[in-house]
Parts: sequence; C-alpha cells; structure tokens
Amino acid sequence: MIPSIGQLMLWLALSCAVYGIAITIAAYRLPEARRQACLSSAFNATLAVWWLVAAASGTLIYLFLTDDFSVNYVWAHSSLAQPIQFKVSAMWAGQSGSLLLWTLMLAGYGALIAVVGRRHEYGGDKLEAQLAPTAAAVVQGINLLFLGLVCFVTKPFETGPPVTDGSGMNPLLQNYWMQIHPPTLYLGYVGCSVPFAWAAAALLHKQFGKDWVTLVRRWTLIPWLILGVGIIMGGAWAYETLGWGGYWAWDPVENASLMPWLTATAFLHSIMIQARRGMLKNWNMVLVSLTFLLSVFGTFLTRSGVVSSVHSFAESNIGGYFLVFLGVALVLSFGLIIWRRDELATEFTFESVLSREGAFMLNNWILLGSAFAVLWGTIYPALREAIDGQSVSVGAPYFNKVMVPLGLMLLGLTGIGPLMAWRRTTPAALLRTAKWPIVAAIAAAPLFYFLSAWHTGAVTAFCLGVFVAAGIILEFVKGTRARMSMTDEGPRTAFFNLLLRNRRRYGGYVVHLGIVLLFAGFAGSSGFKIETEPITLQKGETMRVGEYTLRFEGLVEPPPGQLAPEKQQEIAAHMTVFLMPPDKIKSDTKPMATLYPHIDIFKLAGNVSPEARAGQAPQSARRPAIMSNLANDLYLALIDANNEENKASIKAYLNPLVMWIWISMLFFVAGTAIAMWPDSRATRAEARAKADESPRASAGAETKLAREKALEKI
Amino acid sequence: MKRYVGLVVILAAFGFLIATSLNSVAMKSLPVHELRAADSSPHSYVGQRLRVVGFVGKTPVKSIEKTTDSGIVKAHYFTVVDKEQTLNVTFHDALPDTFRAGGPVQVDGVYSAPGVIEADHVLTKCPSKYEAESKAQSQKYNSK
Repeated sequence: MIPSIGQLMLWLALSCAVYGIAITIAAYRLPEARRQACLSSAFNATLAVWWLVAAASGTLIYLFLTDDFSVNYVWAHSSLAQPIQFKVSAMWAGQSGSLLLWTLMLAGYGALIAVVGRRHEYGGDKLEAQLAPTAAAVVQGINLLFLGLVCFVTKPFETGPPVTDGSGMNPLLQNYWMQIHPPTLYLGYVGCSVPFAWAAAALLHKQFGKDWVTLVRRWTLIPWLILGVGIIMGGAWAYETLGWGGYWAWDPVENASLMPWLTATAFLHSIMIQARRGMLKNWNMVLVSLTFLLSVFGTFLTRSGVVSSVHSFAESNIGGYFLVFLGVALVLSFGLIIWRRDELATEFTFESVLSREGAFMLNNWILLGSAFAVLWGTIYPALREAIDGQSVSVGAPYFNKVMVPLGLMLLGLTGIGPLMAWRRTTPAALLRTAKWPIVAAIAAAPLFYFLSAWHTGAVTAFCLGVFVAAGIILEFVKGTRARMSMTDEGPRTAFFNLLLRNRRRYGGYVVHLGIVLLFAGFAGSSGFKIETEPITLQKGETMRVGEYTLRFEGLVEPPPGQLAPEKQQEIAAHMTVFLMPPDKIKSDTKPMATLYPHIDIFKLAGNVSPEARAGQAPQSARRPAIMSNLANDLYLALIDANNEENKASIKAYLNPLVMWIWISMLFFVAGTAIAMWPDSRATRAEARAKADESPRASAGAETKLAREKALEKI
Repeated sequence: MKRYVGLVVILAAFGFLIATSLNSVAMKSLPVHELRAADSSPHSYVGQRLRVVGFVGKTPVKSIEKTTDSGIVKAHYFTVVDKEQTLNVTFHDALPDTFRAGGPVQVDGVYSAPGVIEADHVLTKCPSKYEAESKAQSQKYNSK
C-alpha cells in the first residue's frame, strides 16, 4: 500500500514536470495577455514536482525505518539490525534510491529557481524573473530523464515477496561519511545543471548582458563549491577508513566528478572576461554546456558498467538511457549556441597575449586540457576494447604524468594572472609588479634543498606556491595602503573594508590561497611520502618509519558489550610512538602517542540462508590509525593479526602535509562566501549613481561618487 | 591568424603530452589463459609489465617470513587461475581486505618467467554480497 503511494507520487511528479514544460512553452506562444496565467501555472507545477518527489523520498526513508522488506530496495540495502542512521542513508546506497536522490535535488534546484524568480513579477522585466520560468522548465526537462528512470526502469518502490529480514547494507559503507559525502557530491553534481539552465534560458531570451553574468556567476559558484568540497570529502573518507594510505586513486568515478569541476572552474574565470570586456560570450556558453554534459557523462560512466571502478553499481544496465539523453542534450545545447552565434559575437577583441585576458584564456585552455586528459585516460581502455579488442589499463601513472605538469602551469598562472593588467601589459611592467613575489619564490627555493629528499615536481610546486601566496599578500597590502591614503581609516579597518568593497576579487584571492595549500598538500604527500613494507612484529618489537619508532605492545579487543552491533570482531594493535631511534628508548621513556590501527570483521547481517553463505568469509576492513599534525601524518594500518602468537603485521606511512588538503577546504568555503555575499553597497552606489545623473545633483555628490569609484577600483 | 597558430601549438602540445604519457604507462591487461597460451609462441610476454586478471586459486596462500633490515617481512605466494590455466604470483605487500579464494582478482607486475609474475599491485573487486542469493531464495529460508 505505502510503496504504491510512493510510486504514485513519482508518476504524478513526472506528469507535473511534463505539464510544467508544456505550459511554459505555451506561455510564450500565446498572446501576451494570457502569458501570466500560464507562467503562474508553470510555477505551481515546478513546486509540485518538488513536493511530490520530496514526499516520495520521505516515503522511501519511512519504508526503511519501518523495515518493510517487501520492498526489494529496502530488502537489498537494510536489515533489522542496521543502526537507524544507516537505515536513513541506505536510501542512496543503491542504484534506484540514488537516482531518486538525484531527482529530489534537481527538483529542489528547480523550485529554488522558480522561487527566486517569483520575487518579482514571474516572467516580468527583471532579468531573474524573466529567465526563471524558462530555466525552471529546462531543469524539468533534465529531470524527465531521472524521473522517467525511477518511474519506469529502476523503481525504488518495486515490491516482491515479503521477507522477515533484509540482506543489509554493505558494511564498508556503514560509516559516518556515508551520511555526508554522497549527498554533498550529488548536490554539487546535480547543481551543474543549474548554470546550464540559466544559460539555455539566456540563449532563448537573448539576454546575456552584464546582469546575466552576475546571475550565472552566483548560480555557478554554489554547485562549484559544493562539488569541490564533496570531492575533497570523498578523499577524506578513503584516507580515513580504507587503510591504503592515500586519498585519490584516479578511479573512473573520481575522475568523473573532477571533470565538470575543472570546466566549471574554467567558466568562473572566463565569465570575468565577459563581464569586463564583453568578450568570449560563445565560449562561455560552451563551457557551461560542457560542465553540464560532463556531469551527465560522469553519471553514465558510473552507471553503465563500461568502465570498471570500485564505485560502480553492480546491477547497472541503464547506461543506454544516459547515452541517448547525452546525445540529445549535446545537439540541443550546441544547436542553441550556433543558432544565437550572431548575438553572441564579441564586442571587443584581444589586444595582447600579455594581459589579464590572455592569462585567463591560457587558464581556460589548461583547465579544459586537464578535463580532456582525464576524460581520455578514463575512457581509453573502453575505446581500445571497442576498436581493436585489446584490453589495456590506464592507471595513476598516466594521470600523474599528465596532470602534474598541467597542474604546475595552472598554479604558476594563478600567481601571474592577477598581476597582469587588463587589455595589455609590457614585460617590463609585469616584471615590476611581479618582482617581490619572484624574489620570495627564489629566496624560498634553497630552503627546500634541505628537505629529506629531492623531488623536482614537489619543489617546483612549493616555489610556485610561495610565488602565488606572496603575490596575493602583496595585493592585500597594496590595496590596504591605497585605502589608508585615500581615506582616514586605520590599517585594520582599511583591510576589512577592502575585502567588503571588492568581495569578488578578494574572495577569489582567498580561494587562490586555498589552491596553494591544496597543491602544497598534494606535493608533500606525493613527493615525500615514506611507506614501509608490512612488518611482522612480536610483542615489544619495534619498527621505524622516518624519524619515528613504533613499538608493538600487543593485540587488544574491545570488551564484550562495547563492540558495535554490525561487527563480529574488532582486533586492534596497540602501538606506541616515539620520536627517537629505538636504542634511545629506555623502559621509562614516555611514548609521544598511542595508536590503535585495527581490523573490523563484520557480521553477515540479515537473514540469509546457510547455502548462500557457505564459502563466504565474513567481510573485513582494515581501519587505519592516524596521528596528524600540520607537518605530517603518521598513518598505521594493521595488515594481519595473529591472536595465538600475539603477532601483528603493520604497514606504516609517513604522509607529509596532508592536513593542508583538508584545511584548504576552509579557504574555499570562506573565499566563495566572501565572493558571493550579496553586494548591498554596490546596489546602493548604483542607485546613488542613478540619482546623481539627475540635473539637481550637487557638485559635492559628484566628487563623492568619483572617490567611491576610485575606491572600488583598488 | 596569429591566434590560430598559438591555438594549434597548444593543442599539439596537449596531444603530445597525452599520447606519450599514455604510451609509456598504459599497461596491457589480459586473462591468465591468454598469457599462458602465448608462453610457447614467439609472442611470449616474459619480461613485460602486465595486468593479469583471473580468480584467486584454491591452493592456500603461502606466506614466508623473511628478515630484512627494516624487520620481518612476509612474502606471499598464491595462484591465479582462469580457464584451467594457472599463474604463480609472488607479492610482498599487503593483500587486500577482500582477497579470497575463488574471488576475482587483478595482478599488476613483471612477468618474470613463464607462469610466474612478480606482482607489485594486487587488486580485488568487491564481490557484492550474497550475489547468488535472490530474494525468493531468501524468502524460502525465512519461511522454514
């Protein structure tokens, strides 16, 4: 009964989406007088889709919470013993439920667009309101694919024979990251449709002026940030719980999430050229479309089974639908751009390669090239297989070889770009502004010589990082000084006002600082990583990693009753850590830390027949223990434990600077927040500028305005 | 015109970077029976770096402890089988959590002699749980 209600709501949502699209199209075909009524109805349809899908999702979660194992999806991903938080997150543990989550988020974005548009007369003159009905309809159009899939192909509410217990969620997923990472990543991924929807609306309504740039920038920053944070969170999940010492493996599904992020980053940069110089309008449309298409392509990769990945869904057979959709979307989006090519023509042309525009263009090419390199490496095995039947594998070595030089070039540009003037600059002028950052980078280089080992790529990254950071700090200092000389503000006030007055620019710089930290983390952890073989230790024996000595104090198990319900056993190695050679350790030396890397052995959850269970050893997972500080992570994994002889095999890693990868996330969030904060002052200044245009404006107000404008330019 | 020259140069550089990297690191991947079948042919794979796929053999993993400078290290010896052909694997690092006899496995390493690979990476695919069991079977068991 309840499952049928859930399914019914999805069907209704699909109908509402179809109706919403139809009535929006009709609105622009009908005479002006009836348009408003139609758009009003479309608005309601958009909200109805959201409420219906939200109710359906709530229903699925309810079915999980009430252990209704007659529903196949609930049976496959939950069991009576499953802790309540995992019953909720089981909603997205499999194919159909995660598609439902996708639909839910897309419907949510659609509703958000509609609500924002409704703040003014829906479909009226104000740009957001004018484009919102069309953008919402485009979102519904994309949602037809996902709604169609959950309605007809992979139905989350499908029921089967009633059973008393489910087969349980994969224990490897039973982790708090399961509640955080997939929804975050999806929110970013799904969000890639939103800038595309605004772009399509802009193309249809021929509205891609300055206001559109401001609007689409804001709607891109949100999914861009969420996707970026989601990707880093995925790395943190792998790092913290999987015990192989790394955070990124160039797995096809990881690559799939990285590609749209790279093109979105390119878009966020080149849209600035459009804002400033009215150039690259068609290019920007291409980038928005690519970002969206790559997000769909990533979903196709994950769910079609064409590439093998640890993340793939076993039961995937829906790739064809995505491929067809991708084809249609490709033709429609590029068709639209070609159709509007005259309106998208450039107002200005490049004056010099040595200019801010030139740097942005290069940045775009490198980002796009990176996205292509990742795409090519990801699909190459599948292409080869299809073309000449040869089976090859492309792994981390390829990606590292291609992406390291591209990444370093990009990092260098991050430093040079902001130092270049718009339109044109001369080499001499550039050298003058870049003088101190270059000096700083050169001065820092000898310091890296004293590192434990030489690693050209990593040291280049460090030097470039110093260069970028010095450039940004210099910009902040210059700006603050200029404000101080033009106003009577103190240094602190001047600094904060600088941030507040030029949010986009200085918010961007804060994000750039985050990029520097991210690269420092990558360079440190890949260039200077120390990794031991698994060493077998008797009680009291020691092993070395870097400067650390590790002593095995014995195997321990949690007292009965304290074992988590999903686990059958948990064996931990009690390890003490010393920062000295083993011969210096006396019997009374206090260890600097105690770590417990362990192995979790999971119960075979659910009610499963002994025949099916025969021959299946219980699943186990190695859970590392990590001691982090700003300089490095000591990362221990328990490989084998021998209870009878009280012996353990320990693999130790020393991963420098990994902490900075997680810290960089804070800079991304802070910088994006600064850049996005609604610019109430700007609007006020604009309003004042308009008022000043009236003949009654006094001379005093004019000079004040000029001063205001000079300050904005700093 | 100048712009297009720049564009072509950039594209060519990308193409070159990608192609050379791919050639140098893309690894041939093949199942055990194909690898063994080529042993006696002139196209033997001995000496090449490869990825071999198959299933973990039923013979139990033999682990031999060796004392090295850094401590006692285990060397693992196991077999990978596929279509009645067997490959012997030597591996010094940690075997994955999901390593089980009969489970699908891929082994990267240097094919040092016919039938022997010195592996540096062993990867297992997560077998999805209780694959053989359908919901109907589960129901039968539940109703017993």
